[in-house]
Amino acid sequence: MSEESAAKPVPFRELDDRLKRGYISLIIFLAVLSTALIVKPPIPIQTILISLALIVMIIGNSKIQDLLAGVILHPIMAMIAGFLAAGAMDLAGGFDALLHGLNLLAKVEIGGFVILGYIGVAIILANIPTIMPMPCGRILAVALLPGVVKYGNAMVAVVEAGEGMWISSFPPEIILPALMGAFIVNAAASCGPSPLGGVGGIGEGNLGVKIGSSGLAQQAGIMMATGLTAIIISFIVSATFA
Amino acid sequence: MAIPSNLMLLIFMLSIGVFSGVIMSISLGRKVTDRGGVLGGLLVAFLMWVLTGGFSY
Repeated sequence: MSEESAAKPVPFRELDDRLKRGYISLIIFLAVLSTALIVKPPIPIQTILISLALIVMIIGNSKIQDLLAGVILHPIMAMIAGFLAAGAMDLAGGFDALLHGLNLLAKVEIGGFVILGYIGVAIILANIPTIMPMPCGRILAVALLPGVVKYGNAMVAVVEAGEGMWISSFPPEIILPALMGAFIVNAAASCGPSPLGGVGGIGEGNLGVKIGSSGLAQQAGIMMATGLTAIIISFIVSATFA
Repeated sequence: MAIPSNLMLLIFMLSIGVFSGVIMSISLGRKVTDRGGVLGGLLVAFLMWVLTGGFSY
């Protein structure tokens, strides 16, 4: 194709059918999103996007199979899936069950000695994303975050009701930020050691080494970073409370 | 007698687990000697070692 013919504008009516439908879809998509930004409708953007997807499907004369084949796969979808899982779990009472189970685990005694206690369970909870590394850290991060918040609040309640903090310079208010920070760092980094193909897998693939060969080393680093994050947050938060 | 590499890795992971558990225990307002912190860290490290194929190296 010469430059002259490439630059020559083709009238809309002469475009092929697919391109016409594409233009109409694109214009509707941009118009609806722009209107949503200006008008700020009292419905969530997700509802608008789903409605848009349906309208575009009708205009494009496509079936659900075509839509699924054309879905752009991205780790962000894992986060959305995590949110959906978290919402479903919350509705089904999953987080209350999680809190109940963690409380039971914290109180397990052998020979009169509490084994893990609330601290031991908090450490396990904060490290769960790296113990079970998913290809995207957001999957477990968003799916478990409400549970972590509930457990942190339960720990604060236990401290305030009973024995108090052993390190007197720390107020009980540090528990939730420290636990949350540790959990978030752990979850954010957890796609590195994932054997299912996370960011670590990409690096290993580029290096040409066996997939998962750096997994344990990364887990060790993340485990250290989890503890360090918790203590840094504790010092900063306790300084701000002082 | 040479120590098997997977056992050395386990010892390494457990020591990091104890370190992580202890500093997290301190950060949550507990003493260094808190049993839960040490045991929690050990358990986390052991689970990581097992789930990355620790027995099959």
